[in-house]
Amino acid sequence: MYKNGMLRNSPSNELIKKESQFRAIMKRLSKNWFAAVGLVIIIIFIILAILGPTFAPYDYMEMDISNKFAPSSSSHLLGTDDLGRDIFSRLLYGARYSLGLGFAGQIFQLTIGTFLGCIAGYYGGKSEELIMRFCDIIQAIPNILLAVIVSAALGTGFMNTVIALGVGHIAGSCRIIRAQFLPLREQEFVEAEKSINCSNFRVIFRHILPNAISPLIVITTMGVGGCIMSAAGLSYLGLGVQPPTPEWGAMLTASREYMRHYPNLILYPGLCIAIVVLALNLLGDGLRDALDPKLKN
Amino acid sequence: MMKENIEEQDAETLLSVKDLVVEYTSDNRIIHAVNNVCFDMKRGETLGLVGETGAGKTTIAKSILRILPDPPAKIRRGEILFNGKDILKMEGSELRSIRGHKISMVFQDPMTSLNPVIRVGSQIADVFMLHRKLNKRDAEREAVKMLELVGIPADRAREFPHQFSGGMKQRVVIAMALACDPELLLADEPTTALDVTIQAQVLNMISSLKEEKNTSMILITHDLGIVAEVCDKIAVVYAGEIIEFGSKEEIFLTPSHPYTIGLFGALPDLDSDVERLDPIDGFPPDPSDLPDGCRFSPRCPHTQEDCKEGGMESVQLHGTHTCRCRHINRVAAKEGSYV
Amino acid sequence: MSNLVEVKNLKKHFNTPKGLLHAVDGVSMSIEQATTMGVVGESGCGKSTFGRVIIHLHESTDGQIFFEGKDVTHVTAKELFALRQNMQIIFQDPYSSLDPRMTVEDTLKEPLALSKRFPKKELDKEVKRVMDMVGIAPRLRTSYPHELDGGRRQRVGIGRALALNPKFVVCDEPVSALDVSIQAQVLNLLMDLQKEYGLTYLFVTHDLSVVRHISHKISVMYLGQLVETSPSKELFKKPLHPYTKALLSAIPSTDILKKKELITMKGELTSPINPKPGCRFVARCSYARDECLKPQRLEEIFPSHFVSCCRVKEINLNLAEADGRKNALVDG
Repeated sequence: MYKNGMLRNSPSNELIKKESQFRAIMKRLSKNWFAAVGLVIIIIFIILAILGPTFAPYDYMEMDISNKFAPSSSSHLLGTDDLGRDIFSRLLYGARYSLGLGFAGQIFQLTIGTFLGCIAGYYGGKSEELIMRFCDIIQAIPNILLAVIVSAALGTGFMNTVIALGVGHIAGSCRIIRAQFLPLREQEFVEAEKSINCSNFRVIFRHILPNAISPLIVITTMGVGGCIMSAAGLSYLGLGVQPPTPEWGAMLTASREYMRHYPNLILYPGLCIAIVVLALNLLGDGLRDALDPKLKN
Repeated sequence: MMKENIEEQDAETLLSVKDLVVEYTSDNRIIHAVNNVCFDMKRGETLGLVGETGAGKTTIAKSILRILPDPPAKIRRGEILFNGKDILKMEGSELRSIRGHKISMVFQDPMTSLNPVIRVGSQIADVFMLHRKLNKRDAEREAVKMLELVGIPADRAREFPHQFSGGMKQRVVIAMALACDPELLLADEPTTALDVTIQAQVLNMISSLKEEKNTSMILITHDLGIVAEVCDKIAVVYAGEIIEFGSKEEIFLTPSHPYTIGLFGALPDLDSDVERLDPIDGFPPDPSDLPDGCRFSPRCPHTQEDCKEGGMESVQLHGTHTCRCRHINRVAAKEGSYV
Repeated sequence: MSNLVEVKNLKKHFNTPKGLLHAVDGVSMSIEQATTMGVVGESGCGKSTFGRVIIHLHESTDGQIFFEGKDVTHVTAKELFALRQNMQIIFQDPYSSLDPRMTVEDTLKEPLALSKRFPKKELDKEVKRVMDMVGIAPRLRTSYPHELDGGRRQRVGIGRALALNPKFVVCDEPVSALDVSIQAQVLNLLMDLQKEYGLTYLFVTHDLSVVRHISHKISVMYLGQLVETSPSKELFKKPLHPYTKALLSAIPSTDILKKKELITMKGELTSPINPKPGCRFVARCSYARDECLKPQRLEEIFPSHFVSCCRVKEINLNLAEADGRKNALVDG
């Protein structure tokens, strides 16, 4: 047992508090007022998406033609649309689709993009060349066009739309992860891991990736909003999710012709999209600040 | 409060720092970086600010130039008299006329001190154009002369920083700092990032330039060897205070404060053979939670009960030697040194 | 005393866009068991690369490495797995050599777990043993690197290297990034551990006073070549190679009463990319002659004191008379 003055406790030693990284990040995040508000809003919407349809006053397909274009009233909180369907209920149902598409699309591209980025960033050489050229090809095609092509090829439906929405972002994530890997793989702790017989797989996924992923978390959070908007675009083109599915973007585009006389058909779904996207952006900003320990000082 | 050289406080004194207090605020904590620092410097002198990381030496230097980021740093109190005028009260053009011109600074890392996209000669010429108001051609000519003064051939003036080695970059930085014949040069660990042979060349160069131009210098370092070679006076900094001050001979031959003695004991020496080094117990104090009384007492092997109470006054020893410790006689007896 | 590690004519070259970088060029060395071999030199001399090649973090380009008498220059993955439990490394930068997302416990547990030598329930006990060994307080078990100061981080790095009781440890500038008072603590720790466990160190550093304190023998490298090697104290009393002399004269001394002459070297460091044959110090040496452009050999001048310089005898004539022993300088 090694004994010397090193183990003696001077007053300053007591100040070394143990604090898990996660808790430290959450603490920093909660201090940021805007980010906290954003997080709360997202959580509310997620709860509404999950539980909403159970409490929705009407089914999303329930039509009441005689009562179409009704204004807000006690029976229809936000009024009815062109087919007499309750807008409020449709929004509640739609939350599932919109949020679902947004998050699922991002998770899809995050997984694939991260994996490719890890391989390219860690091994370099030919595999890096191959993956980077693949990214170049994807990025050469505008996102929405790519989504259209994939959607047209795969057909309509939830999962196919998720893939179509995610494909364009894969290259972005891949590049970010690769860029993060380049300085990280030169760090001494990577050499140290190898010297204690750590396999390459473990080094990549257990050691480097957790240190590389924070910028991607921010971008992915903010990308959900973009996905929701793209989903709207796809619906308009007759791809992606089809009516009568009450996806917010679809509701938006379907109501364009009534914009002048009955703006609430556009207003409410638009507002929902806007609020969710704003909340996600605020959260993303706050996350970036919270995840960067250097800004703490 | 230290009042060395009070009798000589006349035109000879270039810089006089009185009761300087600097704090940083971070996360609702106050970090006491500099606590009641006082010292004087004569013209042509080289003062070594010695201490470990976090002791506050760089903060002191940056306060003199007033380049501390505000927030989070705040100069709470004190006076910094340069040629009799208080720098802390200067504003605008008066302050700008001092910075880079009368007082200039060399930082630690030559890699980041130079602008990577501007040619080396132009960076030096900029100093001349700004402070001496020369036109471009004259400035560039003077820049080349400065480069040759620091041992860099004239034809390299049109090159970019990345084409220079670390030692040459540091020499360029020194050339920039000396371009306007400053009265005071602040050098913050100027050779820490350099190899020992390059370090020796650079220190030699600084010494000869200093002598030629009679520049005063404050050299910040943790390396006692460099201090022994280059400095006339030494201030030992611990937890934001100057705990011992004196001439080179006084400090090296008769160190009095237990921390100073501890520092010497912790150094592996080229000239002596010891079985084990004698490290100082414990760790430097957290500047946001400094111990009461003597800041060093938690680590001091000679600490007494009364060391934890009250502020430490500095005790006058021989000549210019002062020390912030109440028990130097006891310490000296125990350590076998003499006061 | 047997040689635990032996290196013969070791070379490591890197392919760069500008040409072939000769990081380590024909270095031969023997390290006795339970001793410390110090390797000193300035930036670009290849000492760090040398240490890493010996423990197989880099593949050697040429030459041989022997461990406990066996040739381990080229090993299979399985042999490397076993070898790594005996040859470890402590890194320089306590800030980048620990995974920022792993606690002290995680970092120390990893080598133990990966070695597959311990059942899961014993791992905690082993971690405690390692923490005691290097002097880390138990309450810091769940701390993250950013919560610890440099000295403590370095102890974690040392603990990680020593967790499996290796026989040979490469110490790559382990105290250079630490404050003076903490340096002394860590150096003492390394020396105590060496005494207690019979460890063999290859201590790589640029700090000559540190290396003198901890090493039994010292080797001086310049631009990938070994220029001088000798018992530690003798190197400082009798440096023979012109580079060693210049290096020693450049160290700032705390003895203010001693007068010193600075031996200056001409010019700047030459490039290790596609170097010319012969002694690499030629461009800066004041004694350089034509024969220096031929490949140099290590010659034993005093007992255990080897120098790689064809003009060593002429340069050090005064030493020949001063030293009464039979030595190569006098024999000419």
